[in-house]
Amino acid sequence: MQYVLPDETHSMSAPVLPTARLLGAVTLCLVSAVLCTWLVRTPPWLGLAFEQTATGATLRVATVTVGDPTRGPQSGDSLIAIAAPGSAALHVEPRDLLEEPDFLDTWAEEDAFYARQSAISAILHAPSVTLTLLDKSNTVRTVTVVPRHRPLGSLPLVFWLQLLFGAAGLIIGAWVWALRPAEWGPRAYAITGACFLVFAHAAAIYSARELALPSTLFRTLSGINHFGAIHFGAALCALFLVYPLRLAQGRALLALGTIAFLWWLACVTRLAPDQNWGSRFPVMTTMLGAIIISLVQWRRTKGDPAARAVLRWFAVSVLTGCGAFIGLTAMVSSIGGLPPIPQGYAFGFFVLMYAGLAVGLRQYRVFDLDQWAYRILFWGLLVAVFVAIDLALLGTASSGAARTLTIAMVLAIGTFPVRRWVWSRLFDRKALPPEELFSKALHVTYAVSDAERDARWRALLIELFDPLHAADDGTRTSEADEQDVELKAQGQELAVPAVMSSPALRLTYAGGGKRLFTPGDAQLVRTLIGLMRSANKSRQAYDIGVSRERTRIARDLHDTVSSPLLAGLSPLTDGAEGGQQMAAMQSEIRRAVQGMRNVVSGDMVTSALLAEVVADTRFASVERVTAAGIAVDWPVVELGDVMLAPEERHALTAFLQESITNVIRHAAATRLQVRITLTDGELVCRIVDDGRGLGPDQARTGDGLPNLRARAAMLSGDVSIGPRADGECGTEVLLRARPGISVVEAAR
Amino acid sequence: MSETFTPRPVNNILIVEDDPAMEAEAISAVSVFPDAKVRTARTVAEAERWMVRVAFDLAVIDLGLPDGSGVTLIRKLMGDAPHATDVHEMPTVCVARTVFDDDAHLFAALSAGAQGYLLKGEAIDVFRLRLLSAMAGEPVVSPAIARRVLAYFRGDTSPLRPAQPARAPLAPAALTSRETEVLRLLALGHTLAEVGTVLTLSVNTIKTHVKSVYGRLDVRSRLAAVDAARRMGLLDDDTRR
Repeated sequence: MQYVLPDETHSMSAPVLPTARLLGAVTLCLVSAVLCTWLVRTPPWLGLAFEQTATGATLRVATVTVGDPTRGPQSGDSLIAIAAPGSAALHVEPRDLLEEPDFLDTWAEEDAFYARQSAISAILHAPSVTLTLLDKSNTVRTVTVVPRHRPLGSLPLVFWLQLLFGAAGLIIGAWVWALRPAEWGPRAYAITGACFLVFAHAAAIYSARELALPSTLFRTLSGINHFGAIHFGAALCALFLVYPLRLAQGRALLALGTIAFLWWLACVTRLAPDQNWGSRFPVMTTMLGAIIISLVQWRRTKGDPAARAVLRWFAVSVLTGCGAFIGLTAMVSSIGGLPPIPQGYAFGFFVLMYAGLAVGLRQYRVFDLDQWAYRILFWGLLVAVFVAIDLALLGTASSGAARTLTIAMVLAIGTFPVRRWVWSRLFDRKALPPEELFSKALHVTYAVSDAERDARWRALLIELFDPLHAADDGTRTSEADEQDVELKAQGQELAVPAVMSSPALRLTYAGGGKRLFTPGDAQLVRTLIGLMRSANKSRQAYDIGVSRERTRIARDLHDTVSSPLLAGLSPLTDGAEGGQQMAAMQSEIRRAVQGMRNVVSGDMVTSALLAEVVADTRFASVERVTAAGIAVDWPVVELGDVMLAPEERHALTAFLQESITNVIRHAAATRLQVRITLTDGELVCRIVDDGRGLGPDQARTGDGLPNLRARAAMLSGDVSIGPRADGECGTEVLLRARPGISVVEAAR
Repeated sequence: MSETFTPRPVNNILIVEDDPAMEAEAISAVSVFPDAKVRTARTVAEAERWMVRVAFDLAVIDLGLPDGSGVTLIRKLMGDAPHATDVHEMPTVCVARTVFDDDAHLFAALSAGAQGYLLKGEAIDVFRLRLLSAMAGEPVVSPAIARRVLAYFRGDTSPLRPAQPARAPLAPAALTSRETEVLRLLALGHTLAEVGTVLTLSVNTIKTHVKSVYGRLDVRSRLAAVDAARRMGLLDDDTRR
């Protein structure tokens, strides 16, 4: 299927490059990550990390990052209460550490939870905080801690993972959309990615809090999380409604989006009776909807195996990813349990859905993309990694002491040359000097076969412009149409006309998707085509000259040599006295005339494709062998682009003809089998008959074997003649040779 | 082109040959048609004089004659001999004869409308066989011809083939996909019968395809044909072979 470009709908506006779209997504991910990292660090920090005890009865100090090692809180202490100076202590409950408020069932429970978060948060904002701890020896003591700014290093792994998961979803979604912006499937897919980022990043913040967030912030984040989750589900349904088959139109999709939005409103305004109705049911409903729609897709794609293969792969990766998450979280909480693993890690299941697409893209051509699409994803990821490293260095430097600042500076400056090297190595375009252009044009023109010339032409265009995608245009095939090089879709495409034996080509997105084709590019291709055509003309003029000269020699040879020779074949002299001697002489004359023909026709002096030599010999032999009453089994096989030098060509023809003549004359065979294969440059010819085989008297007699040996030597090979390998009655002639120069080698 | 696979009656035969020994061989060969009256000519001019007077069923024509090319004669016999205006008359079956069997010579003869092709120096039995199959309407095929015909219709040529300038094909109609397939299989070394087997068509159908293609090699106007042949470097009127 050909690329569908959005130029019909956006013909007036400047085209947006896929890289720009992807860069937008990468920027969005990074901005969101920075924002999350900033928000999670706004509450004052005690320098501790808490965990729930196995019984769930108390909150235990898991790690102590800062604090007095002897008098401060110890790892393993339980936190009983927390207090600001001069106010009453607040008893701390394990529930305060709840990762996700959605795990609570009723609005009342949720309100209570937020109220406690607010209270704890207020205490944390005091200049100092008094903690009541129960240590391992069950002794109660109080410790006063001065809350400080939370450093980057204290953020738990699960926080970073959630940022990463969300970013992966958006980047992969945006990647597909960047390459297929006008199609609904990639659009829906990209929306799921964006929604995933929204709910994962929102959850990352509140799930990584030390103890509490101000309730306004918490509620807002939870609302954002719900927004992402519900719209994610709707986008998932939309995705299966439009891909692989378009089952629904824009209006239905809009309605779907509206319903999701209204449901979300009902949830955040608490119109819904409880958490089940507010957030869990919509998520599960949309999931169920996606499953049902994918089943409809399955039915509708019957008889379209390609679409089914895509659907199978796609549905399996999407539904296992989302299904595993929903099964583990929403369903478990709706029946009153707590998820068995932290939700932050469970978000990883969603990544399956995006990784599945990235992995299956090439094999199943999901969204009609192929391997070439990976390049731009790689580029996007590289940008993201470079910027993320810089941000991390910046973050470390801004919060740390002079020493870390120095290290950060050294790292930033030290890695600069490495980055430049990586970048230029991967993405820079080399300009081609004119003399090289000329030699490249000749290289294309003088390829030994049409297929090879076509391959070289494509390779040259790819080398010059590095397009994301190059495909046969499919509309024009002949040079005679005199099409010009054209820029299409405001430079997103370059239409290259048919040249010599190459069909018209369509190059899409220059410079790996990072630039548009320019009029200069079109001019360069025009120049190249002009060079190639004129080189081709000279070559043809040369060929005509050779042909005329050959004709002249032929005429002279005929007048001076063949006419007198042929007179010897005349019926006037036929059957004269000395019969047998006469016949032998005539046979010699025929051979001489044939030899002369070979010289004149150029068989002795020109190279030829192995495939052509074999074809000619096969054609000439099959008739001959069949006429002798022998059944021929000689399949035609692919023999590639190997060229035979004139002497090799002659040797192979003679080898085959002589072997076959031997079978006709001496073997008394009823069947002849010829197998000619070319594997990794090795030519194997196997000529097998079912005749009487080589008797002791006739083995190695005549000029048979030495002749064949000599032919084989000309082909850089060896021949063996003997009984059949399968033990049947008959003879087997086996030639193994390495003739010719493969085109690939010749090109080097 | 009609599908006649039973030999048509042969009443008048023309042999155009400047070499007496070769002429004698030809006369001996055409004795497979015992009822026919045989006329001989040594030059193009002499042959043309015969052609005005007699409607020939078979003509065996040497391509290299003292006063011109046999290809000119073939074209005349196929197209504009006076008797050709009589619609009931079947066109003469022309068989070209030459010393050289390169596909350039052959192609020139075929595009002029020759039905068969003979090599000087081949055994007399082969000669007779080829005459019979030409009369039976069997097309001449070989991988080399098939490749050349394909190249002709594609309007270009591989650099290693004998010269044929790249150009838009003069023949008006392009090849059908079936015809292309037939030629491609022939170019790979299949015989006509094998092509039939591969494409699950009768061998007669394959022959019809081949002849239909050959028919279109003979470009529409004589002028264009001469031009085409000249461009191929084959047909200088002053060239004697």
